[in-house]
Amino acid sequence: MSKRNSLFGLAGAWALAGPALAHHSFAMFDSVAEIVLQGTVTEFQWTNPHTWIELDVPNGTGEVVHWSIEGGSTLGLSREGWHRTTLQRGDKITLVAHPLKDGSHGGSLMGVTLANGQHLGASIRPATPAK
Amino acid sequence: MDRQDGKDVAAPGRASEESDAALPMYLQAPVFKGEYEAERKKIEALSRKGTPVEDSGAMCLPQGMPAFWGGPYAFEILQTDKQINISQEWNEQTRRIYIDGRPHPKDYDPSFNGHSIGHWEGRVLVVDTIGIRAETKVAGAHHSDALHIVERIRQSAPDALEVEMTAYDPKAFQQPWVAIYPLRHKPDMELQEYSCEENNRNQVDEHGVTHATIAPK
Repeated sequence: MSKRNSLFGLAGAWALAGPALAHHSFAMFDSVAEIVLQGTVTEFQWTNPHTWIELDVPNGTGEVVHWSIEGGSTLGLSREGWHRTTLQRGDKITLVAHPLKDGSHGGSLMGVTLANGQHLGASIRPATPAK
Repeated sequence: MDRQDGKDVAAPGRASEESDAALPMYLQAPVFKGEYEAERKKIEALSRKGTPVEDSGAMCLPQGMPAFWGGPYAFEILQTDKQINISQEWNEQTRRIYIDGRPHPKDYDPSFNGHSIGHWEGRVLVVDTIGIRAETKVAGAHHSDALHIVERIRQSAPDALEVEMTAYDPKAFQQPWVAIYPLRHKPDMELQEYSCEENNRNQVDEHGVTHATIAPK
């Protein structure tokens, strides 16, 4: 094979210039409703296929409610400025999420505001909601 | 929207007849016939209900061909005299396209990406693929065991590749399905590791409904 016929000799990666299929259905989340949670991070799972934020949220009556929020993959989030240490146990954060439809304490991350005021997107929200 | 941002689109097959035209070709289903059209309609109806069947992504199965080019993350293309390997970050997938003149095997065990051989027509790499497992999807719907894919891959600009794919399936399609996947060069990007089994908290139940596992308090 000649060099002439090496179309792909460019080093680095390639990315589809168009929308992608989601890793899984997001039908369990209410894609219209938004909840705002202010709480304390108990664990940040920097994992695939998705990251998870475990959060203790005071409910205003002296009780603490635990929430599990699903974020984008490490691939997606790292390219939006996230890092495995972006959230640490004990961090006070505010996040916005689409809640689970069944009312249990979970959601799909839309964005987070850190204690220092920095805002980070979620890299998980479908751009074209499923009909 | 740029795939490289890691954003995803939930587009299970044909989301709706109205919105179909707005989707890129590779997300528009072929025109099916007979039982395959009935199956597509069933999948579409369940997706609309929010209970998509066989959510292979949530089960961490490779999407295989032809959806391989759908990513959703970065690709890496490496070439030797014998073959071209194309990696896809999502779930550590690799396609191998043999360019040393070998034919397809006589009795190939079907695989998610099938068996691919390629040759050059001028500056265009022409890839012929057979032996694709029945559970892979074409724009979200089922194909038959006769699926045969021809790709014409060319550098459409200094920093762009274009994959023009024609999928032939005389048992399932009324006519060949054509899709074009535009790819953009990301010279500074390195592929990262992605194990779908590392922490998959999305389970699919027997009704096809995907759940999120909420940690106990």
